[in-house]
Order: sequence, then C-alpha cells, then structure tokens
Amino acid sequence: MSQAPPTTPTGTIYDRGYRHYEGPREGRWRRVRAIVVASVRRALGLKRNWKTKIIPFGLLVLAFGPVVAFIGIRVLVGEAVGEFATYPQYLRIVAGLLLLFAATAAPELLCPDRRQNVLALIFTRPVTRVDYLLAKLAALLLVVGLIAVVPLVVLFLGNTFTADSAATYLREHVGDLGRILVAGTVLTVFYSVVALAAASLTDRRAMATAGLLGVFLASSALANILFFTTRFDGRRWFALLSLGGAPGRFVDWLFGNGFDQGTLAQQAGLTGPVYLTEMAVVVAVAGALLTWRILRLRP
Amino acid sequence: MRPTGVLLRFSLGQLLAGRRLLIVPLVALPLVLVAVFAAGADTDPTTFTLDLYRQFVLPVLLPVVSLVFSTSALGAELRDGTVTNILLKPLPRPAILGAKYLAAVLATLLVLLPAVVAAHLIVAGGLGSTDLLAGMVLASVVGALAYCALGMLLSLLMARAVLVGLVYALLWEGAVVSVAPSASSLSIRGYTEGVLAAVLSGGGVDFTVRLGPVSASVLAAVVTLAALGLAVLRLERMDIK
Amino acid sequence: MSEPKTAGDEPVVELRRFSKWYGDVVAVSDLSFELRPGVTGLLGPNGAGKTTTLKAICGLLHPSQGEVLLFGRQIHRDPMLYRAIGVVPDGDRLYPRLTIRSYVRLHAELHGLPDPGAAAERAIAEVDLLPLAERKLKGLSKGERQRTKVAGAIVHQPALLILDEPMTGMDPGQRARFIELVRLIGAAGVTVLVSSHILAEVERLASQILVLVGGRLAASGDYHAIRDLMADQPRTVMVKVSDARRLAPGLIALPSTVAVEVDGDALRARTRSVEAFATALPRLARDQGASLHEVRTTDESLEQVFRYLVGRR
Repeated sequence: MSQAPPTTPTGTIYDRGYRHYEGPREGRWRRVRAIVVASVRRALGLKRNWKTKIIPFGLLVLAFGPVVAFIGIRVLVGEAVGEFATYPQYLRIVAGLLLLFAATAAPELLCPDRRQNVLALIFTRPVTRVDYLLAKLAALLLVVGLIAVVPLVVLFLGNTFTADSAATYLREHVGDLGRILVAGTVLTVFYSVVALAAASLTDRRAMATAGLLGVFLASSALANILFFTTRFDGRRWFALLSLGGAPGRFVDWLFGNGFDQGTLAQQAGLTGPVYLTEMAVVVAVAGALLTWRILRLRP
Repeated sequence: MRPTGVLLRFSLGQLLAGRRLLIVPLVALPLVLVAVFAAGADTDPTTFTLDLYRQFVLPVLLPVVSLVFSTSALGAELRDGTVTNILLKPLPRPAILGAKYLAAVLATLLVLLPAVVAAHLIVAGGLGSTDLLAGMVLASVVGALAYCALGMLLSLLMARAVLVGLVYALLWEGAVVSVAPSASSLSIRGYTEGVLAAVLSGGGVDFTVRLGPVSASVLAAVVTLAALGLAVLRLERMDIK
Repeated sequence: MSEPKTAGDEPVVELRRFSKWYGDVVAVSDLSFELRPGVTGLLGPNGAGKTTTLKAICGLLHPSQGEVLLFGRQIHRDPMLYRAIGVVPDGDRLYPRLTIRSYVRLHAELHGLPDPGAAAERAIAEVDLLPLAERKLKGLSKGERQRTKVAGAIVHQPALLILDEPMTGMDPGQRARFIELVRLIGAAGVTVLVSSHILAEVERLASQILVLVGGRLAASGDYHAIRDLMADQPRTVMVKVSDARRLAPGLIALPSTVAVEVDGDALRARTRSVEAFATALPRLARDQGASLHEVRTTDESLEQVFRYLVGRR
C-alpha cells in the first residue's frame, strides 16, 4: 500500500532590497524624443501656470485667428468678401509673429537648463551633446513650423473650398501652395536657428530675448540710415544689413511680387535669391555658433 | 575708500566683468563702420550724424543698453541671492540703490558716448558741429539717467524687467507715441529729443519735436526722480529671499 | 571687537511677539525671546521657521506683527547697527569669480574697516583657508565655501554673530575646528545664534537652546533643565552595583519608579523622579550591604529633548 508522501511546507525569504536594473533599455531615439517632447511642452507653456501660456498662445491666436475668422465669413457670405490678404502679405505678418515666438521660445529651451543646473542631470545620462542640440533644434523647428506653415495652408484650403469651383482654384493656385510650403520652411529654419544661437549665449532668458530683438531692430535701423544717407553705388548692399528684412523680401520675390514703392528693398534692387543666400549664410554662422556653444557646455 | 565708493567700484566691475567688456567694441563697431562709410560718400556730416543719432542711437541703442545694465545692476543679485553680501552692511539702502544706479548709468555712458563721439568725429572729419556733439552728449546723458532709473525700478518689481522695459521703449515710445502725440509727455525718447533740439536750435539746426526744452528737461527730471524714489521705497519695504 | 552697544544686562537681541505670515501661511507665530552673550542654538525641524526668524533678526524681512530689536533698536531704522553684526545666511550667495581673499576683503571694505587687507587676512586665517586664499570661489568645495562665508561674517569682529546652518558640507575635522572657533568666539563675549539640524554639534556648541516647532517656541533655556521639566517622560538611570538583584525590589517599591531591568551587575531603572531615586538609592544600598560602583542618567541627549518637543505637536 502506498501512501502519498507528506508534503513538507516550503517557504522562501524574498530579497527585496535595491537592485541594479538589468532589463531592456530603450535606444537613442527614445532619449532624443524625450528631450524633444519636454522642450515642446516648455516652449508652449503646457503643464505650467497660465502666465507662461500668454505669449505662445497669444501668438498662436494672432497667427490662426484672422485666417479662421476670414474663412468663417467666407463660408457665410460667399466669395463676395474678396481676399483679406494675399499669401505673401499674410506671410509677412506671420514672419513678424515668428520672430517674436522664436525670440521667446528659444531661451525657454536653452537657458533654464543652464541656470537651474539641470545640465548635470542630463549629461550624466547617455545623452550626448549632439543629441541634446538636435533635440532642442527639432523641438523649436516643430513649434515654429507650426505657426509658419499651418495657418497659411489653412488659408489656402479655405480659399479652395469656398471658391466657386474648388477644382479650378486648386489647379490655378497649386503653385501658390508649393510656395507657401517653401517659404514656411525657409522662415522656420531661419528664425529657429538664429534664435537658438542667441539663446545659447546667455543663461538668462529675458536677456536672450532682448538681445535678439535688439539686434534685429538695430540692424534694420542701421541699414536704413546707411542706405538713405549715403550716395554711392555700392550702397544697395546695405539692404543686406537688415536681418529682419530679408525673410519678407524673399517671400515677396518668391510670389512674384515687386517690392513696395519707396522702400529700401525696392530702391536697392537686389533680387530674392540674394536674400535667400544671405539667410543661408546667417543660418550657417548662427548654426556654427550654436553648435560651438552647446558642445562646450559644462554640466 | 568709503563703503559707498567701494560698492560703486565693485558694481561697475560686475556689470562690465570679463567677456561683458566686449559690449563696448560691439556697440562701437557698427557706429564707427557706418561713420566710415558715410565719410567716404558725400553726405552732409551734420545731417548724417543727426539722422544716425535720432534713428538709431536714441530709439534703439540708448534704451537697450541702459535697460540691460540697469535691470542687472541690482536685479541679478536679488534673483541669485548674492544681494545679502551688500544689504547686511552698514550702508543705508538708499545709498546702496544710488551706488548701483550710478554704476548702471556710468556703464551705459561708457559704452555709448565714445562710440557716438567717435562716429561724429569720423564723419565730420574733425570736430565738426560742436553744437551737435554737445547736444548728442547731453541727450544721451539725460536718456541714460531716465532709462536706468526706470530699469532699476522695474527690476525691483518684477522678474523679466528688461523685456518689460524694452516693450515700453520700443512699442510705447515707438508706435503709440507716433499715433497719439499727446502721449509723448510720457516718453523718455520725447524728452531726449526735446533736449537735443534745444541744444541744436542754438546752432540753427531745427527739427520738429513735440516737447519744448523746458518741458522736456522738467519731465525727464520728474520721471527719473520718481522712479528712483519708488525704487528706494520698494527696496526698503521688500522681503529679501 | 566693536564697541559694546548695550549697557549692563540689556539683551543683545530681543524679539517681542514676533510673527510673520505670507498670505494664509503662518511661518512664525508669537515668538518672544532674548539673547545675551554666549552661544545659543536654534533648533527645529524643517519648515519650523528657523530661517524666517534669523532673517527677521538680520533685517532681511519685516515682521508682520511684533518687534525685533537689536541692541535695543530696530535695524531697519539704523543700518549702522550692521557694524556690530555678522551673518552667515543660508544658501550659496557667493560671487563665483572672486577669490577668497578678494571676497573677504570686499566685506572688510564695505564695513569701512581702516585696514581691510589685514582684517581679511586675519579672518581667512581663523577659518583655516589661508593656503586657498587665491582660489576662485566657484571651484571650491561646499565646506570651503561655508568657511569663506564665515570669514566674511567675522572680518569686522562683530558683537552679534548669526549663523544659519553653518556646518553643512563640512567634514568631521572641519566641523570640530569650526565648533572650537564658535566656542572661542562665544567665550569672548560675542552673542552667537546658531541654527542647526545637527543635534550632536549643537550639544557641544551651545549652552542655551531655543526650539522652534511649527512656527512657535516649544522650549528655551538650558537643555538639561528642559529635560528635567519633561515630567511625563521617565528618565533612565543606570546603576552598577555589587548585587543588583537584591537592590531591585527596594527600587521597584518606590512610587516614582516605572520599571527596573537587571542585567548582571548592572541595573537599569526608569523613574519619574531622579531626585526621589537618588535619595532612596544610597539608603537601600547601605541596608542591603551593597556597594555602588556607578550611577548615571543615560538619556540626557538633546535628541531626546528635541524628539519629545517635536513629537508633542
């Protein structure tokens, strides 16, 4: 006769102490993405109090508001309303908003990390300075691009769908859509890189914003003075001195408009590609400055 | 050296410390380059310098430089806590504010005046119109005194003082006043232009301004003293972190 | 030392019903105490109001209610009082690009000392920083920065010295030397107020303590005396005696005794009255023919006092 052997009671003591993490780790992409997401949140003032949302959301409203309002009126009243702004005109307005936005957002991305000594926290993780730079740049490009491209695309779509014949409008103006995208990209890259370069020079946000806006203003004023008070042949090159003017003039050329009578741009007679080249040079210099500053950041 | 003098010297050193001293050539460079170009071309030196001063120095350079220095003079130390090194000393708080204010004004003038004078000398190829020179110097001093007083007060009241000051200087003084001329009694730019015009009209150069010499100087003095007075009151009443 | 500002036995620092609130949050409530020459420790858990109180004494804050008097005067009305006051505040507060020497010298000059260089050298030597005097402040360790702040605070030989958590970041050797320095200063007639979490050091440093809990004064005075007042906390007395077990019943019989433990030749008793115990013990020992080798109380520590006071809230 067999009996089932008595089962001995078993017990275990669990070691719940501190352990080294041996599990899977995400890769570089996730790390960069984390910084991008955090930066975008910071630039838009999300997850913080209402005061930090004023400027970004205010600028967003200014960028989208007129477009939305216009489309609304168009839908109600029909084509009788006419165009409220041509694409280049609206792009110029947006360019001004972009400057303000980049000038306030870029310092938010770079300066607090330095000022609050967060850099030690970031760089003792497997995040390289290159990753950090690319992440911050990507974040700003995303947010600035949002304002540069989307309102205009919405305007275009609005015009298309409220036109008597959407298909006709689209066929006739598809070139404009292309130009909108090109202009939007150029403006986004220009303002983002320049603003980030300015922000990388100091750890105080207000100073970075003030400095950037000051430089844009001063360069325009100087260009005007030099052009209108001197009288020699080479003076048309002074038009290039105005950093703030270049984007708007490029846009005007892109859409085939002439410059307004009497302005510096018109009298200087420089063409769009020259301004584009100027912007490219400025972006390259600013980019080099930004890279140099970030790569030598000490945590 | 008496403690107030020590504080003045120390604050001036802080404002222009190390790499910050680069501001001096950085600001001088565009002005000097502009002057070199203008001297090469045939422009009337007086008109050119006057335009340069009225369109560039007065509206942009003067407020920006003054505000940058005056908002950091005391504001930076208040925000990072090092202000206790100065406050816990046998110095009356008005004297502390005064020393910081003076340091900001001196730093501003140190950055601006040599550049302005040099540009004028280059363009005029010599001493040129001494009235113009005197006018520019005087207007710059008045402007520096007023903007720095404003900057100090703002830095004691709020966090992003330099931006607020710039918004005032660029938006209010630029845009609003051109639209509503009566508001120019509240515009430091209006006062500096008034002072400049007053000095120049003696030499026969006229341009229209909204404020006569008396109103300009009186208002400038009132605004400066009021801002400094309020700043002293604020410094004495505030809790230091 | 700067000229004494008080006549006779006037307190150097006096707080009268000092309160400070920020909107709805009360940081300090109805605080009254006096400070005289010697070292006083200010203790309390985080958030108890120690830094607020120290800042009010230094003149960095205005009271919401009540008065803060230094040498009988209000410091806001009389900034010259700062000649006699030295402060080591919380937080960093150092100019990173200055050297130790230039920092301490700056303090000497701002105080208007006739020979700032010599005063600075003396102060730097007192905190053992002479070998590092030409180093820039931003490269120093935390303990070295603390000592630099102290040098800046004592360069003018003040009559009142206020220290907010001065020993943070110091290693044990530096702490020991610092404690010695503060004791010397206190013994020289300076009024010193030290706030600290580190009870062991305050025990060695301060003869008088002030305990702040929840913004209120929980206790003040000599901490042994405070301990005596903590009547509902029985004291532990350890007795080494030749025959512990025979002594035990007699001790238990005392109405003030709470418990008696016997461990070999040692006896540990908890009693509500050390006095009653100490009176009865010799008689009992003699009756039993036992010899007493050692008698001492074992929970005199400041930590006991502190935990008791904090725990009561």
